[in-house]
Amino acid sequence: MSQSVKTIWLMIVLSTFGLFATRAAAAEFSMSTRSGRTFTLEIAADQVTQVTKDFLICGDGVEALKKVKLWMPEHNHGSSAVQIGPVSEGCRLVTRVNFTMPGLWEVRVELSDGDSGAFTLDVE
Amino acid sequence: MKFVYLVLMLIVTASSSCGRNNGTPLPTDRESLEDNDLPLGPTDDSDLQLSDAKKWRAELDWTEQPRFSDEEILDLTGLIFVRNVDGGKPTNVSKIELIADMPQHGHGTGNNVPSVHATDSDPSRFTFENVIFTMQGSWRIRILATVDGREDVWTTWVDVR
Repeated sequence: MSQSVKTIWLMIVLSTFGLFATRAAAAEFSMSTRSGRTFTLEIAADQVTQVTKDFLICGDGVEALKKVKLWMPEHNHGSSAVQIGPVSEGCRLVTRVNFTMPGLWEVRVELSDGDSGAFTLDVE
Repeated sequence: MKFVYLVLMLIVTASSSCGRNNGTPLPTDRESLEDNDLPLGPTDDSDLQLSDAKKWRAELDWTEQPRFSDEEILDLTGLIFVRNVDGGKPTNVSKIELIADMPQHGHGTGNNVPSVHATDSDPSRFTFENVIFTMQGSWRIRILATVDGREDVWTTWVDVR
């Protein structure tokens, strides 16, 4: 096998690995509630953008998730209501997410027992 | 050697198309309409009752009072009537859109895009839906339409509480 063919095969293998690595990327954030529960927020894409329409909130006790509110503290306003789906594999799918502008956003969560917490996301 | 170049080109093309998010362009206002000279809030200018070219005006009939809630999904709907200056109906109205934004805050309705649909009964009457206000305050509503062959914009403001 000539040197150039070997080089080409090597580049194909490396680039294929790189493609899969990029597609598998997902943004994940974690936070602790006031009572110490830990939840994660997962988004399928590698970063949160204004196009983002849904995410997963996962963790022990996620069935107690009562309310999710999007809030932009620097601008002192939020966004429209989201929908919280049923529990599946320790997570709940939150849909109708609408980050209306780029910047720092909080995803504030409230639990049915009064516990609460917030994720902080940098929306592109 | 040509084979080497071909493979390299394929790799570069494939690499450059990944790593992006959903790839969907942000469904906000038309860039061409981003005019900094437009007022940032309601004015007393009576000309705002007519379209920019002063050829027509629109009337909005909301199914319910425009309002905001972060507790429930408020998908607001209504009717748009397009009228000539004399109150008559234009012959042809096409390419009609509704855009809601808050220029004073620098955002619109985000990834939620209102839609406008023609009605069979009246070519100057349209339905709109999927208007979801994302905060309280003064919202600008623009109706973009091609009326009797001319593109034009009509603007009004709603106080969302």
